[in-house]
Amino acid sequence: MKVFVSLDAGAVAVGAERVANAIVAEAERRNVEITLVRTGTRGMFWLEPLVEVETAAGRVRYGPVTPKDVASLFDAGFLEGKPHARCVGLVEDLPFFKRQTRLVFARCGLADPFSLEDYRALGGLRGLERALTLGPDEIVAEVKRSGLRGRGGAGFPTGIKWETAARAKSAQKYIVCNADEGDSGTFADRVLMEGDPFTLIEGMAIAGMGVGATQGYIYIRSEYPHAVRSMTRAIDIARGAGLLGPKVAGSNYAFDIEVRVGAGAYICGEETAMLESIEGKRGQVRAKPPLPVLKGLFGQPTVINNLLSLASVLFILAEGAQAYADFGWGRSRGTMPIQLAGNVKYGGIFECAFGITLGELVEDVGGGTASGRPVRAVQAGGPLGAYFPPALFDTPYCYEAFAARDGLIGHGGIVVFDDTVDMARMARFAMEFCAHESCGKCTPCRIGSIRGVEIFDRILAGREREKSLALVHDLCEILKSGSLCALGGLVPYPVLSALKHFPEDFGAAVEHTAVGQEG
Amino acid sequence: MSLKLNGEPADFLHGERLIDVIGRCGFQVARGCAHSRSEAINLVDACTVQIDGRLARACEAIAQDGMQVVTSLPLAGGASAEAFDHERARQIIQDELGREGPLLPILHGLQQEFGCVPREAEPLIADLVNITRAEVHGVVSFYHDFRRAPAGRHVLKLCRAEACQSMGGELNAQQLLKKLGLDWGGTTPDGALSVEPVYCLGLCASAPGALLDGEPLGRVSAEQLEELVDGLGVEAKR
Repeated sequence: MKVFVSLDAGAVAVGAERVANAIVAEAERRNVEITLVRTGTRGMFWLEPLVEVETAAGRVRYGPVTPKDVASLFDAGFLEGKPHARCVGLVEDLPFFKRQTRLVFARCGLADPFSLEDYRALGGLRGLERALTLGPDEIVAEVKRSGLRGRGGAGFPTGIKWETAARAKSAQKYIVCNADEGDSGTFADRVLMEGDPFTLIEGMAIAGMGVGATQGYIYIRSEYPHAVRSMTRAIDIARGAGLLGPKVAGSNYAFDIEVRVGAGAYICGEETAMLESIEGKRGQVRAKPPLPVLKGLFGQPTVINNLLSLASVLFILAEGAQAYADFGWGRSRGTMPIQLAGNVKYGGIFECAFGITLGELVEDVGGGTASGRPVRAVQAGGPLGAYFPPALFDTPYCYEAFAARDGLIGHGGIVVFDDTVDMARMARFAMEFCAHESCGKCTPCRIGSIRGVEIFDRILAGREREKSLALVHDLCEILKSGSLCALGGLVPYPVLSALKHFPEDFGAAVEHTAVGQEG
Repeated sequence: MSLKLNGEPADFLHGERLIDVIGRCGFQVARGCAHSRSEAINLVDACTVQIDGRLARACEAIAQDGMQVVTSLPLAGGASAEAFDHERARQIIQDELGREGPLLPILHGLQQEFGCVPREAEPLIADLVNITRAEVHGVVSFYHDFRRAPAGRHVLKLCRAEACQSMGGELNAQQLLKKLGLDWGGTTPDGALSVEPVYCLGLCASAPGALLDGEPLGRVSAEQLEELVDGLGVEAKR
């Protein structure tokens, strides 16, 4: 009898470890034979700790389970999938799950993340196997045809990046996976590294083959200790099985991967700062050009891809570029693992094709706020993303539509706030965060952000309001045009969107507010 | 307005720099770059003191009411100097030298062993990696993770980012810090607990999130935080 409990940090954080131990202890006490499998998470965090049981009809699910529930679960006969107050039925029947198109997260939460056998049984390695038959040129062409765009936020076409690196002449090239997932409200990288790490290894090996790189680095933030352990272990297993090393899967391609751990600097998620950090330097942004793809890590051609981009490549290779491009909307092709977070009733990972509206995501999929109060604002795309009011919930989820409304989808995070949020404080926080995390290279970001905090302090105290607001707009202009990277360049997004959509929080007259809300 | 200087009450003027208060009260602290008639340029660490359990430069700190200041650094500075084992440090550094760009792995290794990156290690790293001491120091001081003195026996990291704010995480944190009489990054006087800010742990769908000694915690309420801290036997400031 197989029982599944997640080992994901998000599940362990709410007691999955204790529940797993309680199930084993209770089974021993009752002399019932069970096999407890620790899996990744299904990404439905409101149900964690989630317990799944394999039955003839499919996996029956119970959640959220506490250690206290375990005895009664056995009494009710949960091992046969019988009813219990915590039972939520078959996994595949839940609306949150049913509406998804899981390409990247297809395997996550189904099996032991460290079993290569399970990985292969669930469709793993098919992408790599096809890549081996295609050869470098065709791999790159396939990714290019799929229309895949970088999932880190900038949305640059992955295939073009690979093509440029493939054409660069150099004895040594690198693949760097950006797993420095620092945006608040995002956790898809973490979940995939903990729940299905071989996916990333396979994706990087394919990238290495495509562009002619033999060494890969995964840069993981130190705030993710579980993901660091998981990835390190999976790389060892893959190397042992011959998937990494001088002959990848028995071919003539060599590729190996090393995990590098960050040290608490958000800016190292910026690609050139990340390169500096791997090289052992301060995580300061580089000026571009030269582009990293031609002159990157240690001065060599380097493909830096977000983890989700690399993970998306598997489906593209296994099923073909067209199958992937068939999903999506406009120029945003394929699927995006969207992360619903913050004050949301059903928070977690929701992977779907581009084109779903923001309102559907927040209200239908997410079920509104966790507090039960009205939704007032959502921040899309992390701390540098814009705040959207419910009036803009008709925005389709894709790169262009968000940009047209002065926002961005970033790494796919959506943080929901209820009506108790003070948007002036959130705008101040954006500046405070920028000041805290600025690498110090560009003056508008290093000093302007500190002045920004001070200006908002004056606004919050009700002093020199008009003058201060004019200064904020000025400062944002300078930040946008005078910063090398996205930290200083994008911090105006949360600030200006808060000002534009929620003027009443900045001391605007009430009648002004009423007009603003109608519009 | 009054603060405690090495256990003794000391009066000060509004806005007065700590280094001037210390000098006036007859305690010795090296002045380094801090001239009495100019602003501190914050370059030299010679004036480091312990303020409410945390290390800080006396030249840039402004005296605050109720501050607890120790000039002889018995807790933090002394402990790090004592614990530093030259040979062990050399070993840790050499173990990583085979990597491309070994500095961050070296610093992580040292911090794991010594609880911080001891100042005494910087010349050693510079020598073995073949970079300048300034470069080493620049890297150590750039990253938020690297400590100059060991943290408390337990480290509680509380997430301050947006998703956790939306679930009241910041309010909970402020309440806890107030109860413990600490500021962000501070350590309780008994050395039991350090409370550090963190910007996102990826627990955003189970907010507010925290990390206690590397173990993740989700949906953490203010009450849970208090229970947790009480369970660690932390003696809060009276």
